[in-house]
Amino acid sequence: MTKNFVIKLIRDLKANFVQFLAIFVMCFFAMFMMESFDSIVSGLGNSTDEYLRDTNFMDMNISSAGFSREDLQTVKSIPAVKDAEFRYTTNGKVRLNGEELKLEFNFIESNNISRMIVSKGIPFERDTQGIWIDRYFSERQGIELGEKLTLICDGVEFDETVVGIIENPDHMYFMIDSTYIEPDVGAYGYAFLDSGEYPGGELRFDRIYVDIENVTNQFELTEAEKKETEDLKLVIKDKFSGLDVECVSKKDDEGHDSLHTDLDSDEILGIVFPSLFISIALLGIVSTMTRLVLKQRTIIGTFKALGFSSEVVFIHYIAYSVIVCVLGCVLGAVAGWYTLGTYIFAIMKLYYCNPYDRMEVSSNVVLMILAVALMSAGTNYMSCRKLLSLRASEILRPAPPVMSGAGFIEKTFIWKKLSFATRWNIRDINRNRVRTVAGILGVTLCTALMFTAFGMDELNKGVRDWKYNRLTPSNYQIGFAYGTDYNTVYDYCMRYKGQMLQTIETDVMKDDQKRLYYVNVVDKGNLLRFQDPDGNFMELPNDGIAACSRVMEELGVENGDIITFRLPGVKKYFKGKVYSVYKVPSEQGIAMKRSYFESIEGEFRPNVVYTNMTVPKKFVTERPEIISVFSKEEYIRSMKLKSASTEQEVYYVMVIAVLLGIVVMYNLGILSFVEKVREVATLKVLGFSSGNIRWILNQQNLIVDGLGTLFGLLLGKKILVFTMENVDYSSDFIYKVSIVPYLLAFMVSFVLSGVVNSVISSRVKSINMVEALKGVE
Amino acid sequence: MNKNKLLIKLENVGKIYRNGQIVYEALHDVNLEIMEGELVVILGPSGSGKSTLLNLIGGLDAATGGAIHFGGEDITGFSDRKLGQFRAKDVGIIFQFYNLVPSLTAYENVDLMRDLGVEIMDPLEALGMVGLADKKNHFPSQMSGGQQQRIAIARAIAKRPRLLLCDEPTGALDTNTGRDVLKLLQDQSRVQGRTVVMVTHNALFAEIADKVIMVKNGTVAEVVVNDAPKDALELNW
Repeated sequence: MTKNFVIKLIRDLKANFVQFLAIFVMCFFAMFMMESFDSIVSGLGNSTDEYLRDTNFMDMNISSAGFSREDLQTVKSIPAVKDAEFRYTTNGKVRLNGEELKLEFNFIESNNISRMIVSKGIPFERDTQGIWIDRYFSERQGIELGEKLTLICDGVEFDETVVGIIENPDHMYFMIDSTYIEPDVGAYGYAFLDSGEYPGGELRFDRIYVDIENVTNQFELTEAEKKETEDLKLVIKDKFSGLDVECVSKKDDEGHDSLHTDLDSDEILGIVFPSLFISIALLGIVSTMTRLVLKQRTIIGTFKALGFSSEVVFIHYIAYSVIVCVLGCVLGAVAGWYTLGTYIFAIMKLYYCNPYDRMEVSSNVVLMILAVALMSAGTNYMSCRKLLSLRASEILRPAPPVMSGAGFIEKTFIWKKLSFATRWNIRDINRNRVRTVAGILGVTLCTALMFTAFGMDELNKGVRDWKYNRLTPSNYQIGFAYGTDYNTVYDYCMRYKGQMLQTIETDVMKDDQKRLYYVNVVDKGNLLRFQDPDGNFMELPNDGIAACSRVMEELGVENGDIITFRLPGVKKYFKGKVYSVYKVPSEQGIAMKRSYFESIEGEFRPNVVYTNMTVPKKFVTERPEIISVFSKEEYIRSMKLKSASTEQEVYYVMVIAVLLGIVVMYNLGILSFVEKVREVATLKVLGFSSGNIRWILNQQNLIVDGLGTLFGLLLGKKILVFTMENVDYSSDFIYKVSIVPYLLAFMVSFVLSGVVNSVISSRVKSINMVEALKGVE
Repeated sequence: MNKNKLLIKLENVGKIYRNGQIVYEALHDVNLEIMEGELVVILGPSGSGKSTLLNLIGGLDAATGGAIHFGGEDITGFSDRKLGQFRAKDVGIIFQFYNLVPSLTAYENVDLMRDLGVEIMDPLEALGMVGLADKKNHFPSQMSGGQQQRIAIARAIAKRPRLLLCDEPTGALDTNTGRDVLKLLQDQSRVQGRTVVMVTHNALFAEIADKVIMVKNGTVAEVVVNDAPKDALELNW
């Protein structure tokens, strides 16, 4: 494009500032949201992949009370196994400044699988004395290389010198025990030592880490790799049928799974909202450019008459929105990176320890910007194509008026009974169907966006009340150590007037489908309640199992189907018929009454007691059978903290949705009004009062805004459900939103568009009749 | 310039417009010749086909019958692209409502012709020729109708075209301004030796023309050669 065309373009952009600002703003927000999430998803995804690759993160972790050297050989001899190594992991303490802090000890013989990265000190070598200690713990507690530490492991106190400061991929998302609901990085730590340094008697390795031959990916596994892992699980369980072994595959590892879930959630938010913004932006581009091209018909005709080729004119007009879109997208991406993206990244860093972590600009963002540019070029091309296909002399003639026949309604008796305003509006809508549809679509998309944002906010906040007031209304929850006998738990239950629950995460199967879910066996009581998908309280079935909606959906289960599960330490497979469906916000799984579980020969071994009485926190440190005591307030506080970034994201969306709504509605309103100026001037000339004319215009606006708002609320509900269903596979919601999001979306959308249109229609008063009638061809 | 050298020749030219079922014959059997350097005025009442004739001569539209020759070349079968190149190189057009680009200054409107890929005179020189060099930084909206039309003339002549087409060039101007514009156009023919074809419904303009073509009901009713054209400044209407 030559200098003069560039100058014309810049001045035209200034002259149509509001319209192009609307396009800019929409593209800006679309890429703002996309880059905010994508920088995290791709940055953390790739950096985690690199971290796990560099450290050869384990493909499977087999645990048991103790393995022999023959067991290790057995694992190594399986053809699918590339390598395997021992590990003994136990929690102990380190004495620092007179205080005992929790430390996880890992005794190893080799460091090939899930190996530690040494940031300071010497690398691990067999038979080396000393301790390699976690970087975050050493930084927070001020532990230096070469420092002698007093340690307590399996009841034995001993000293070791720090020979290395390290990071380890198994501890990417690390909570040392059940006293923590979320990671508190550096408050506790982990350490690696050579197995020869074990201070107790004979060391019994309790874990075998496995590197699988055909599993090469680390963070994103292929279906073949997942199958290879599951197949190996079966082989191992078969080989160790005499032992109580538990196999945790890489994808089920807590850190791996948690990060995956978080990134999946960000990914879906990074798709849904930008898609909506881009749709609205494209609508804005079509509306603005169609009108701009029509407005510049004479100029386009002149260009052609002067001898400019159609290509030159095409490029010039395509450049308008392409430049605005690309500028909006690029600036939006930059702003998204430095604001919301950086904020989410900071929150993620509170939970995940990854030495490679970073934000990243992915090719998705570049492709999206290119796609937006292409789409805007395409819509501009379509706007100009028809005009430029004409000969110069035809373009220079004024466009013929839009013709439309009498609509159906005009042939009915009702027509004569309608007021002039209604008839004028029906004919105007009939003649300008595209404009009307664009108006409705604009309001629809904005309303849908606002409803989704308000709805997400309500559902997210509602989860706390749902989980901790409606489903588990108890004030305290006591967690018991694995293996605590029934009578001990029962005693606590009686003393604290509580309700017992046996809950364990294990494989649940239907036919050949298998996934990790929580299996819950519930004793009598009213401190643990269940709700059906509509939110009604329900009783667990007497003769079968209740499965939560997620399980039904993911395993393809229907009422009456048989599902199978196995509990750790129990060789038997339990089978049960699904009789009812329930919904829970987290810890998806199946539930049954204790009486039913016992009827299928299950041994009830509760590990949780719910109570409304106050339970002292000190039980955790004083009583070995108790591993956690949490109050409702603690859970709610932790949940608030964990959902802080999500809430922040939703706030951004809400603010953007409202701003976008204002811009889009103003843009569509002003464009629609400009098209009617001549007719309005004619009505004024004929003697209609400004008030009368405003009523005519507002009547049409009312119809467009009303329909748009209605469709928007319906579409918004669909988008909300889709987003929430896909945002986190471990979460679920009862998609019953209160009247509030509806009202808010309605208020902002309908009232806002009403106000905007009212402001625009107030210009009727100031229309210069002579100029308006002269100026329009 | 040799006024005996043929520049434009129309042979049995016709133009039919079709709009669905409606067929409208705007021109039929038009035959005429225009020499280099001539000032030709096409006269006729509204709807007679004079603007259509001008569009065909300038390649803004394509004839549906007959043949149009320009400088010995048959342009009748030219594609839209080739007609565009022809207009860019050989034709300068002046419109009744000036058709300047409102977002460009006077200088930029003239300089825009450079973007056609043809060699043009310095825009300041062109503006100087129409007496508006001092208005080079003015936008169209900051100038009077007469000034805008003069800028349009500067734009048209900047590329030194062989043919200047003027569609009612004074239609939107008052008498005095219109007279100045006519003088400028007449000078293009007399001084610069450029062929000027002007469409008008003002019969008085025939007095300044070398040749007057009377169009009526879609055909050339009469061609009058004016042996002693008046100076444009002598006109009064």
